[in-house]
Amino acid sequence: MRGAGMSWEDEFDLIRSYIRRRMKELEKELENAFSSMHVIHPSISISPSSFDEPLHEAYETEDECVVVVDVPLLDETNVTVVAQDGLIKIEGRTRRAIKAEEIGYSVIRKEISRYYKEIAISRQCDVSNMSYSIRNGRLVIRMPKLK
Amino acid sequence: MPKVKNEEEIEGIVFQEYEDIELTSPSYLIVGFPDAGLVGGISISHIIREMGPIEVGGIDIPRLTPPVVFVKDGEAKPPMKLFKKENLLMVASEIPIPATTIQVFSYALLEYAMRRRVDFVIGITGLGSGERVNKEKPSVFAAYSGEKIKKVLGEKSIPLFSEGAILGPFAIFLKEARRFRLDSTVLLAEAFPELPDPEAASVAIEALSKIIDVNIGVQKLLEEAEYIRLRNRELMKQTARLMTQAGRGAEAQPSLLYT
Repeated sequence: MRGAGMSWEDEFDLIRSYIRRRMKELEKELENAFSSMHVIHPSISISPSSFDEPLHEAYETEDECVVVVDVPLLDETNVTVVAQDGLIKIEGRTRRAIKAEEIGYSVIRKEISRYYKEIAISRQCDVSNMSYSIRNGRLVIRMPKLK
Repeated sequence: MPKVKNEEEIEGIVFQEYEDIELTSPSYLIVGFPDAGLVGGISISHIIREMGPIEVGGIDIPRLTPPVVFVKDGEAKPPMKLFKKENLLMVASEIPIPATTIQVFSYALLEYAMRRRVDFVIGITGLGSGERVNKEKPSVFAAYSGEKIKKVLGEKSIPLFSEGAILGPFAIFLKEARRFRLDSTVLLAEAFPELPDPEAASVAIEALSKIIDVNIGVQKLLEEAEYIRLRNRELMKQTARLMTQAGRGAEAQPSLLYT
């Protein structure tokens, strides 16, 4: 139903402006969707400064805090794990130096012979009772939770 | 690019074949992407190395941003490759599937599988689990859709995924496979979600071996596990970021319904 005093032309103008606005919104949505897609080739994206830094993941259970650090080719005898100022500092030497090209990097002239990592830990984790072990090149650090 | 014999575009996804693809029966499509623990990607990569299938095609997502091709010995190829050996067709992906592409890609792959007369779609993926840290050998579970694959899983004594949500492309494979006249299963191996986990891949491959009745050795995978983890650190970082966007990591959460 037309509004009072509105001609057909006015209504068409309203519809046209609605369609234009909606088209702009859709364009924006599409732009946002495509901008969130990102894929990078591993050997291009690696930062040489992070080459010594191992991956890690951390989680908490009801009773303890657990940090798992991926340190392939590292033995328990060649690692130091220190808790200090809310951080766990991990440093270690690998059994042998691994050249980047051995693990598939064709454009980087670096090698991995040591690891270094600092991990922030929750205040709930009792670092004074921290224990750790290495199995299959994974460093597992456990701390009971403070009551 | 390799010489393309057949090309089909489904839902905007381009399937290129370098030769005609015909599969003997029962036929399987085996799919693994870089995801939790890179289990899918590491598994497919190892299966290809062990079985020596022929590269018969590639899959491209033309609207992927930034555009990407992979170059091997100077030759550019799409980011996903199709391999074939007898009754097995495999999809190997060099990239994690971006969250915004999961829907169209998954439907397109099911449609393609139906057109190539695939009987069973088998996905391989990691299941982020807090129990993984306590286990030398992680567990593997299967979720399924379809009576034929249910029977196979029972006969091969593959433990079933008791309860939880599955997100991402494998959710579409499971819930939509029937519409494409396919039976589907997803093998979920307990894994460190944000660390490359070849040991988890090895248990997934062992379960797959039973289902398809083909022996695929995992000894080499386990021996080289530490190098594989080093090699895949950067891919794992990128994958972990994309998994967060796709909502992965919620698999182990219990259902709201107590049915």
